[in-house]
Amino acid sequence: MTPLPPDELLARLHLEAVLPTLGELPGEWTRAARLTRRGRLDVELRAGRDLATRVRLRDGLLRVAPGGGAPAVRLAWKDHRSFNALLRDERPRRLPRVERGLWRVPMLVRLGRMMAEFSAVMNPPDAALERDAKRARAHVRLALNVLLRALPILAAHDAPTRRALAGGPAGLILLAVPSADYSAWIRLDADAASAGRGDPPAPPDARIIFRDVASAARLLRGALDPATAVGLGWVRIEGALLLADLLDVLLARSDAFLGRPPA
Amino acid sequence: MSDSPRRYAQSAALFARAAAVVPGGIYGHMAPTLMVPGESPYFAARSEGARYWDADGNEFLDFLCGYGPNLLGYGHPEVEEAAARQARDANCLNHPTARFVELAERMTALVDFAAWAVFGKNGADLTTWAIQVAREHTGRKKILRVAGAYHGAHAWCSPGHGGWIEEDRAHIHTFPWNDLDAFRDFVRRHPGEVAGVITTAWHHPNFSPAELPKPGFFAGLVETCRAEGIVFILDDVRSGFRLHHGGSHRFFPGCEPDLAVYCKALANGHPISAAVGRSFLRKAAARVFLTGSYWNSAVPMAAALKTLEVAERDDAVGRIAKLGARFRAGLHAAAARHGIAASLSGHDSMPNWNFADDPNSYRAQAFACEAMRRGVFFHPHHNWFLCAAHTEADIDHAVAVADAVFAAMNSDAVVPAEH
Repeated sequence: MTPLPPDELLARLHLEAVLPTLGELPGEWTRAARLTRRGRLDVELRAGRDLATRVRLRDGLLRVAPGGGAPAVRLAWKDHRSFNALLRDERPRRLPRVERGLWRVPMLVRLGRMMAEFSAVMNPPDAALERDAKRARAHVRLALNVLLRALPILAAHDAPTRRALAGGPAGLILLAVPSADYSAWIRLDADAASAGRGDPPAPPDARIIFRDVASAARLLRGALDPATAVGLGWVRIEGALLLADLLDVLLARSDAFLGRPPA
Repeated sequence: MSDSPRRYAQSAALFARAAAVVPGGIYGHMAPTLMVPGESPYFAARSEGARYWDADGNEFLDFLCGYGPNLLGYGHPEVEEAAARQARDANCLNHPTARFVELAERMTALVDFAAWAVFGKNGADLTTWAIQVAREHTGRKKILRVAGAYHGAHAWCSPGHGGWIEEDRAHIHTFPWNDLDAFRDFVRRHPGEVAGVITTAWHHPNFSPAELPKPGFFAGLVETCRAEGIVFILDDVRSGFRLHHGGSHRFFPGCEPDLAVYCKALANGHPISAAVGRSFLRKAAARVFLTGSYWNSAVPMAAALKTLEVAERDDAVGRIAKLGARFRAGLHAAAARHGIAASLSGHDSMPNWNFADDPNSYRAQAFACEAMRRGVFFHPHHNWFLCAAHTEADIDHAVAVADAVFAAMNSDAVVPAEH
């Protein structure tokens, strides 16, 4: 694997880690579920020459997966930075070209509404998380899913992440938020990372357990550093501390690209 | 001493306040993360001898000794009296006091190879300065160190991930502990480029068993250093004056450093570190600027002078070694009684306790947690320390607590840490 320029890596993270998580939104967020009950959608978002993700809605099923195909609509950004601006709610330097399906562009309205709901869950104001337990639960579960997808990408293409992995311990980490009925595993190796939902495939070398949804949300949004969170009891770490420490380094790299809104 | 579960409400409250105004709440090696969060105290209140009381008033028989500085016992009356007397006269002035000269004279008399001495505050002040001296003396850049060894939190050696850049370590290279071939191979591949090699007296990493030097390791290392003009720096920060009154190198045959750094046990808790060196390094040492606002403070120097005096007079090293042997035998016997595979490694005065088949420290964490609940402070990941204030009864009590914990571990009665 080769290190990628920052804009290209961020575009890959957006297309292969953030956007695929949109596919899980209807299962977590009622308003998004309502949006997917009817209608059709088939849009490919393409950044640069070979990065693309396709969003498809058919028969009430939303699927978002990297890769192209022959979509109804294809939006193509020539440069990665302009595409990234869209996902970061910034003003893009260039608008995308509609390479396919110009007459089906109204589909984008539905996609826009879904993205707005996605943003409401992924980047809500702190107050919304404090008062809305359902939103907080969905936020934590989806933010962790983004992370699970982002880490292998960073391990493959981000030079500082690769250096950290090469110099750190290898092992399997359990990540759990029991009150959100969420568990996942992350495997760190010298030259790669992999991750998945559910129980780890083997006894974990380290266990990272969040006390509750609110604590997980605060930590994921960067309200506090992990060391302080451990001291406060927001999160419990057992087992291989050096492995958990390495994960913290990787989380910081993920943060550097995908950012966390200020708490 | 109660064996009821400890309560840490005051520690937690103080930590919550700290979290608002201190990055990490408590940073560095005292961070809760490295202990058993929720099951170990975060803040201490007072201490005496081999015991301390935390912010909640919980009493602990201590086997960490402030991570090493407690050699004679917390608040040793003679040391504290010497420090108080000096404080009444002078501490931080425009000039050093006579204590500065007296301590340098004491250090050079105590350490057999030492022709000179200098002083700092922490170990890393002087391990960092020592590699500068090696570079200044040799005109070379490269420094060799043992992989996984701790020499402080400066950019060239910090185990942390943040705050340093690759250029900080461009000329810092590692080799495995006890691997003389790897050391020699590196020197052979970089003729005339290695300024110094820095090692501890034995390898005592966190999370892993300690490793004593193999026979011939130090002799071979010294031989290569002499032949190639490489400065051998002994980082005796953690172990200095615990194994031998003249420095740890006296304990290990063939260990003949050119420069050694001491800190933890030097002044029984008062802030001071020292470096001593052979005469051929005196000019280079004089050229490497060395200073700090409080580095010439007289109170810690007075405390160091008294600590060294008392330690030698009372044979603290011999007493600790005897207690350590009793501790080792007792713990091994207790573990064996319960069929638990675990062992002490390293030197008896500061042993590492590790369970077999526990690469991720789960059992070590459970063991430390249960011992703390019973009023004995064992660190789960760091080497322990014994001090001269421990008694045989303390050792026997600690062994009895360990025995009870082993029984609990075998019966699955160990309760996970709470928050």
